[in-house]
Amino acid sequence: MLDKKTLRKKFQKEWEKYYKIDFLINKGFQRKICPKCGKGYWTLDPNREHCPDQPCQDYEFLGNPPTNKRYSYIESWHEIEKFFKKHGHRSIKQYPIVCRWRDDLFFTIASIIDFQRVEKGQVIFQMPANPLVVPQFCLRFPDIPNVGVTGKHYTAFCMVGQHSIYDGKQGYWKEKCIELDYKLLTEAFGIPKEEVVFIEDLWVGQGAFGSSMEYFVRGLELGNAVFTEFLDVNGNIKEMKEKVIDMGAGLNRFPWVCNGTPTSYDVVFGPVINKLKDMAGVDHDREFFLKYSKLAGGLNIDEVSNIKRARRKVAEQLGVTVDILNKKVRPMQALYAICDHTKALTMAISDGMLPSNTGGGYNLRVILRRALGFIDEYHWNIDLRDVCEMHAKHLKPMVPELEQNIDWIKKIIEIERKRFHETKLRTKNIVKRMVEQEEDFTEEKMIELYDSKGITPELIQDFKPDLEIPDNFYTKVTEKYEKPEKRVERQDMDLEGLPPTQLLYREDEKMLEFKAKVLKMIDGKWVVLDQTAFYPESGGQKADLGFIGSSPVSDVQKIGDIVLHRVMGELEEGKEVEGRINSYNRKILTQHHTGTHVINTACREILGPWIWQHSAKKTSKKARLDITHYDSLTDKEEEKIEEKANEIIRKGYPVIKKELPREEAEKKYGFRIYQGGVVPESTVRVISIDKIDHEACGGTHVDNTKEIESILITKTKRVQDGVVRIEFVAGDLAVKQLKKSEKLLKEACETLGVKDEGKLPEKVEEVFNEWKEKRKEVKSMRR
Amino acid sequence: MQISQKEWKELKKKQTLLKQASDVLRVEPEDLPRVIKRFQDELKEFKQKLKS
Repeated sequence: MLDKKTLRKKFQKEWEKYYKIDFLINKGFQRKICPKCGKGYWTLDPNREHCPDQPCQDYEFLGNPPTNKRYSYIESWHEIEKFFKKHGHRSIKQYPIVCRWRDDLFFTIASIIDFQRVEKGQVIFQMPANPLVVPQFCLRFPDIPNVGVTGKHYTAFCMVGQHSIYDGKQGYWKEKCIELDYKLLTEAFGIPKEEVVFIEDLWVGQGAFGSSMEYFVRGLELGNAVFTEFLDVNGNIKEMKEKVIDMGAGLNRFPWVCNGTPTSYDVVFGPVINKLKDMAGVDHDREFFLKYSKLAGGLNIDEVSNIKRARRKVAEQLGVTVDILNKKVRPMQALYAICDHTKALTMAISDGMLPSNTGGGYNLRVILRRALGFIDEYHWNIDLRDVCEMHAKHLKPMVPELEQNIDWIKKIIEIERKRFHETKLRTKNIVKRMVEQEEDFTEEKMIELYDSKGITPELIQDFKPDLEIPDNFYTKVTEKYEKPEKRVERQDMDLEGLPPTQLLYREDEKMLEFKAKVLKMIDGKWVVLDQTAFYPESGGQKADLGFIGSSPVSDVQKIGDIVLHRVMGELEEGKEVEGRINSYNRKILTQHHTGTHVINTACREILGPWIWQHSAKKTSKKARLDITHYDSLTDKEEEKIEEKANEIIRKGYPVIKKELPREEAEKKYGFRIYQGGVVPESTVRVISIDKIDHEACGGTHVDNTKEIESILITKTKRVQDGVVRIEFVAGDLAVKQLKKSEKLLKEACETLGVKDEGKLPEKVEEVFNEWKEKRKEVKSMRR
Repeated sequence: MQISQKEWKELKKKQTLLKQASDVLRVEPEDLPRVIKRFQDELKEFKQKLKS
């Protein structure tokens, strides 16, 4: 593997090959080397002596913006969009902030992620237009402690992506990209040309790499154009056929540089932060903040070894004590953090991710509780629901869905607020006792208390004011949920040299008998055929049962492209055999599988649009669907879901199975198709229940919802925070279950001698009360 | 084994009654007849003890 340091040396040495842009040379730019950091940079200013990046240069735009126009956040995007559209780019609507199309990410973390798909372990690019520009909202959690403090860090931010795939014919490459970025700054935003400086850098990741040019104005990095053009093949450099331009620019930075406000938050949150200041009654000393902000960049806790010392240094430079500094800036920093965290929550909840204690929802709960913690700490009368509503209104020109979904966003926020305060009340005594017993609150202990009981360090501080909360506490608790766990593939059988099994069940789902050739017997119990109509266990659907020849088949598994059948008895390799599938078993599995899609649709309609499939299992005895939902289901909700599911069945909707190119499927039906997870293939099989539900799915399905016959919910249960399990049976099993209940009711009535079944609950209560009464009497008699 | 909507509704009604009755004793529906029998037997026993 080539490391970044080696590549940097190589690129710098051969700079003419990687960084020489004729457009810049023709404009009069000169290449210089920064004496402070050693990086190469390009400038029009002959007197410039160092690169514009921190710490080589301070922010020089604060209180001194380089533009005549003071662009707002939304206006900045419109200006960027107008510019790129004028130059032949298609403006793409932002993708969801919850990254449903990648199984290695919970949230979208950069604009380029929109167009990356993993296919057979390889990252490939899928762009709906070439070139394009996209305002992609992203979520990242490692910077939580810096949010509100440094003036530039966020958990939720919009990355403007300028992307082009270049193969020599289509798209464009470095020259055009840099020309456009230069013109965006100078022509569209009116930034004087001598203010624009490019720094040479490089990007390495996922086995690919390339040069990059970061562009700065008055010390602020506005964008970074990455030119991915090489592959690292076992340490050898291979040029890519299709090169990728990944120019990512923080939208936050454009209005900031154009306004020169003390922090980017002042302009990015626009009307929201102004209203919050009024609501909280915080006195914002703008002049002091302006001086403070010029130094605050140095308070990044990732880069400072001793944050306390750094704060003391800032206070000294400002001529105040640390106490006065804290009094002046901390309440505003808390308001900025509340603004950021509610924005992240508004966007993530709108896209269907709920705060919880696991997975991506874990980090949402962390920031929600952090925001609530600030409100409690300062005793502010701020309702987070109002803040979410303000964000939705402010961002409406860019993300109109937020306002459409605001009612349920507010509902979820309120449920979580109540939970937080219930936890606080419940855990108060535990904390008090621990403090009294002089418990040692180490960092590990605080993390354990947060994870197991939801006890925040701020709550401990209420009882132990001298407790030192690690500055990176929230980074520590969120980092373990940055990415989903990697799935491990089973690879314990020798399948070397075997061709892919032809999947007959894909070609004809109704095929229950077939002929095939035995290719291999493995360990005397698994048989591989050249083709099969047996459905292997996958997508939560149990495998088919049946016979191959006279050998019963008890399990079927698929490893890679090869299907293995578990059989009793040896089958002769090379021999032709006949396969027969247990049709009744298949029928139930099929009813249960389409039934799962039906229940999911019903849940979405009855409970709300945040419902997503969490996981599912379909056996021939029962099926279960786990959904994302914030609370247990009430009897009424359960009843309504069942009624809705049976209505879908009765209406007899056609169930259409279509194989589509993945790009087309995503475009046509959106990312909702990935209910069962990502499909790592270029072709996606979409199961559509008429126009009401579309899911990417490889399972067996009925042709019409009528074939499910009926659905009976047998049990619902909250299985983990934010996940509710619905167990059900379909078809014959549903009727059998009801008949069984009828029989039990009859038996119970007979035992009690009840003639009118409707009176049974009343009679049982009567007997129970009498039993309790007599038992009490017997007990008192004994005394 | 398909049944009419009318039959379905009738059976659902019975299932609800069974569930309501089971909830009184906090038992699973399939255990209800057996548990009722146990309560009845114990009640009889209590009554006898109180009589003697």
